[in-house]
Amino acid sequence: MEQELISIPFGNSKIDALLYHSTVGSDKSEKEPIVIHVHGFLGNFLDGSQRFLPPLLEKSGYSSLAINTRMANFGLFFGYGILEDTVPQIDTAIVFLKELGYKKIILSGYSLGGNVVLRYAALRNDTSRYTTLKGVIALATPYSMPDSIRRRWDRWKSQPSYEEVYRKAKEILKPDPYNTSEDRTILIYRARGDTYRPEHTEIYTYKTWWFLAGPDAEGAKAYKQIEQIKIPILLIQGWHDDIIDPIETFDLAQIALNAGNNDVSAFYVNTGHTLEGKEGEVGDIVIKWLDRRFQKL
Amino acid sequence: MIRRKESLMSLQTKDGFQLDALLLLMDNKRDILNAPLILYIHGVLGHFLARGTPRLLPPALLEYGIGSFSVNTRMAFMGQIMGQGIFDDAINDIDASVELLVKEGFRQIFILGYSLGANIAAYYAAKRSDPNVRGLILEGCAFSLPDSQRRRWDKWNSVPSYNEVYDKAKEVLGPDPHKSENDQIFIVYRAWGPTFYPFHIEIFSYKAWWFMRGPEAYNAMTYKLISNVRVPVLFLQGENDDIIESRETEELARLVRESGNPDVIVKYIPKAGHDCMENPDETVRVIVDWISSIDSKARWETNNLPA
Repeated sequence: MEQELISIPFGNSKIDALLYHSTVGSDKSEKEPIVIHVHGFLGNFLDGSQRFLPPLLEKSGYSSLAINTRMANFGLFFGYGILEDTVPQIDTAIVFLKELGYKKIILSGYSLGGNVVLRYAALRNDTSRYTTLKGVIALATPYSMPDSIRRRWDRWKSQPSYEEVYRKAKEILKPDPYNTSEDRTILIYRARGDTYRPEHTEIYTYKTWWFLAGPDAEGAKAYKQIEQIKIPILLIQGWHDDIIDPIETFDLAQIALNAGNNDVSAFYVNTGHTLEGKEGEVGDIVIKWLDRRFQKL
Repeated sequence: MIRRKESLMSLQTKDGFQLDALLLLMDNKRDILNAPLILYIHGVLGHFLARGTPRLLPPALLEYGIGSFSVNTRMAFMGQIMGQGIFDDAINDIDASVELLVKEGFRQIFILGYSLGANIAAYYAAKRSDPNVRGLILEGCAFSLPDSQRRRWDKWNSVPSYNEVYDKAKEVLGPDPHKSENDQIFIVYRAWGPTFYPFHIEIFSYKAWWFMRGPEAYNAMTYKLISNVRVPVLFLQGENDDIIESRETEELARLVRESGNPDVIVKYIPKAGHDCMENPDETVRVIVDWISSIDSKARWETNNLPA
């Protein structure tokens, strides 16, 4: 396997990425599709499924591009990690891969990244126009990021509460949250557990919160996105996920099927939200799913 | 353009941290282990892809046959926010990096710290003396991280103030901050400028702040320990640095010289701010010349570099 750190030009900025080029069977034409991986909450391409999946896929001949979007690392803390702004970044990553010669592309996202790829696929659901996008993989993806966060904050009695943050966000960001130049960074204590310790604390700006976790964050409501997707969908979740209720994956699959997509698969693995300990099993599921749809077996 | 080999690696520290690092070497150089190799330490909230020196300098120096090992320490990314980025413990990250490089056979190791990384590198060099570490490059090194922050927060009337944070930190962390089970994240508004906007804030956990910026963060007060550095030192600073004052660099260099270490050079990079790679040609030239002067006895085949 060859790994290459790359920077994809994006306006005045760039998208950092790690390209895993499969050399399995390199004497033949390269196996497609290639998979673009999108990180989770505060993540990057050195973490989680972005780190463990590409090498597993590579062994079966599939190349990967793991990208850092605007929401990577501390994008949420400083105001530039707006979920909607990841869409043109993924457009750019796809154009980059097309220029390298790839004709079939799969989008894979973990947790928050699942919301990102579902949002993208919903907005780019015209299959006659977006011909290279062939499927979506959503790992440990919440049914609705705003609802999921609100439930979690309510459960742990967060400080401030969800409603208090919403009220203040409206006050600061009005009347146009996307274009406003007003913003503040905020801490939410007891957001992920019953202590004030760092691991139970969340950090946003009002603006990043608005577009990811606020009640008006339509793009982060996966159930509204998935029903618009017409390409194959694979959902995987840990059965013991303590962040996202396992029923959420079931419900997302059901909504996609009810909307008329006849290629929707959902799998559970015997682990938690991070999929830790079952990386190989997740890899096997993804490889079989890819093989059955894109290879002549 | 030379052919290069890039490897993403993971390494384990003796206290159980798993670190990521990027090794960058020439692909077709025969005597690679005797060529200079720079161990890079990033700055605040940094990592090996951060803009400026961490990202730009390794490939630029590779053109001159100087390899690199850029490590993401425990202070990388959100280390200072989530609490695991304890300044004093970051010495373990450099220990593990040097140990790995020596095990792989590298014998001409230089350590380059950028900004916060310079203070970490100075702390390491004051405490350790591995014969394979041949020199230290300190770019934008603060005289004292705590004093530097206190001055800046006072200048902008930060909210909360430095003393308020200190009082709260003592309350949260109790009598033994290093072993304390208690910790909290806090935001300081108006830390970098006069507004409450996100780009003027700083975020820490009290524990990370205590050992990096608090008034008792003695190992981050570089002036207190730099006299113990026995290897050659190159101080680099941009002429237009708006974060570190030029007298801070001069004072640190003076302290090293007065301790009996004659191998100290200070270079100010014209047309550069806190990040010297705003003037890449001059920065690269200064580093290559300095390493050449130290490494002249080593078998560094600069004349045999591939076209």
